[in-house]
Amino acid sequence: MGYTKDQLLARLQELKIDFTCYDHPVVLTVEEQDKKHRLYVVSALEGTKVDMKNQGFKSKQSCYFHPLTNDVTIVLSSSNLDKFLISIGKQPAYVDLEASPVVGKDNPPDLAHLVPSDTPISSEQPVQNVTPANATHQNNAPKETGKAKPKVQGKGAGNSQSKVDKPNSATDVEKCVNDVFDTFMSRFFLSEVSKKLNLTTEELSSKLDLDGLRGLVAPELESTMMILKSASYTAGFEAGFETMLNNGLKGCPSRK
Amino acid sequence: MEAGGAQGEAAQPLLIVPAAHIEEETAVAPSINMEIGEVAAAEQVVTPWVVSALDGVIDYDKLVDRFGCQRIDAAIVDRIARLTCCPPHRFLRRGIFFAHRDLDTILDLYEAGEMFYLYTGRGPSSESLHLGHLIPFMFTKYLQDAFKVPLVIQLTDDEKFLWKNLTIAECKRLARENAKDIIACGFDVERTFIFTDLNYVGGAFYENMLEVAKRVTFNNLRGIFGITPEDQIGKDPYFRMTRDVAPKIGFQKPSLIESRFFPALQGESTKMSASDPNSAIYVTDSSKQITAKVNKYAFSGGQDSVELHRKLGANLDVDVPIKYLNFFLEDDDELGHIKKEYEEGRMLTGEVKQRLIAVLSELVARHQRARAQVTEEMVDAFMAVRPLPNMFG
Repeated sequence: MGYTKDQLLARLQELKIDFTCYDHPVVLTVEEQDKKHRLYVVSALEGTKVDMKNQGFKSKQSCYFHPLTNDVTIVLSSSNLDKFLISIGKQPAYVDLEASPVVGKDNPPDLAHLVPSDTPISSEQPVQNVTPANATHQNNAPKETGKAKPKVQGKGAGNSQSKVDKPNSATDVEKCVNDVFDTFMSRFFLSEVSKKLNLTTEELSSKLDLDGLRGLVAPELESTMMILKSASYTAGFEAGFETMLNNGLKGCPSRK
Repeated sequence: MEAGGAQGEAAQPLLIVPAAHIEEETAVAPSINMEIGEVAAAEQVVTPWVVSALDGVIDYDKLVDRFGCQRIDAAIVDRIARLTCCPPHRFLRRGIFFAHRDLDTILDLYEAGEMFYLYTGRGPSSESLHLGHLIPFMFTKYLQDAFKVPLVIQLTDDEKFLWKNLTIAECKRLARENAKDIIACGFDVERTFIFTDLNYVGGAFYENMLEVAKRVTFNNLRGIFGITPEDQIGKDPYFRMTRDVAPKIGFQKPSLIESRFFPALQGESTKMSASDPNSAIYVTDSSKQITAKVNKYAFSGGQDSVELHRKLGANLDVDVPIKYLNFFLEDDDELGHIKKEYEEGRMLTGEVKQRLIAVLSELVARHQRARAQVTEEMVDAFMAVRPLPNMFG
């Protein structure tokens, strides 16, 4: 369900967002993609050393964007940009791109809280114009990491769709164990215990061997969760079986 | 006993041995690839096949050479880690699963985006499983999680009926009870199909069995099983037969991974036996029983007196607690430290046993907790002939 440039421009007009529009030949651009295949729209002042964030935008009158295609540029003010972003349910955040905070074990990336935790289920192909021998403004090319990455779904995955987290990662026990451990450890245990002990969370976590702890706890957690998964599956299986037995197809809701 | 149709399990701590030592189920071959949905053309890896020897002392190098297997070396272990993006299981790191047939073929296929499935099984002759029985299942679970592939587990209740003094009803019951322990090992219900022969044989499965049977002549049988029992030491004839027949009916030869022998509590040269509860640690043992068994019966490689021990150190080649720790203690560094201290006499047998008791108690307790949650309905779900849409997840 991708949108076209024209649909986008029409929507901007609907929202009464003023902009100017320029057609031009396609220019080389680079796409970035993080491990969870989330797309970050990075907009920077011309000439800024782009390091993924920018404060300078905030009050600018003329911001330039490609509206889903790289042979057109539209220009609008940042307040109009905000208007559009809010209309599609995204909260704009302005940050200082030229600041370089230290990111490490005890300092999680400072923008992490802005990132949605879920991952997109489908990755659409936006409309694109390709010039020969150029990189395209294409959002979905998976980052090639050579042999390090495990199997590509060889059969039937011949398109260039990236490998997104599948919707059924909810039944992935290993992932769940890690999520639970991280939530429990970093969000609750470290913060609560460090308060009680009058330490900062950084001090406390440096005293603890968190990876070692994870190694100790993981088998236990994993076993418990796998059994829960099996029990849930079993209950569902039973329910499905009984539904078909007693009510046939009528027992299942229609999706139409 | 039908030739090609002999059903069996693959994963036992004990196998074809001379008549004098029979007390456990013998490892019997699988049938040829069963089709489960899209798995039709998938290749299989079978685990494991344990090697044994007459006097309990095994020369693994000789075995590898003699039977035409290949060693699982550091390169393969690294390759598995890379392909699966998981740390390799300690059984691989420590050379417990040490040999293979055509494992590299499977890895090549997997790397190219092909899929395979796993097979293992058990002859459910008794209700009580000991730790040795768990090892192949633990390793298979790791393979399932790491490669994210489906698994088929066969319970050969029919075979037990024929070979043991059991009724059919009892065989069926034992199979289900064993299935509960297997499920407690933590297999993924979305990717695992468990079946018992008495329930499942028929239809397409039976047709496969017949195809196999037709291609195994009486002379083949003699060649595979040998004239005398001694010819069978260290071989699993059924797997050789499987590998031999598979191409003749259009399937890829199954690959195999083989493991080292799991020692009985009282020493390598002794055997685990259902009639002697002190020959092994059972998954039903309490912490108290584990403590008592390890302290009293685990064969020690330490010296007779503390003074002598401090002077000479322990003999790690025969020490059972160290061997057990090798199987069950996860931390490589801690294991290395214990081995060194013990061998050089600074650590005493009692301390090593104490550590082992802690490790085993935790393992067994975890198993029991999981086992307690396995219901009859859960067994039914694992055994249902059902779609597995996420089996290649």
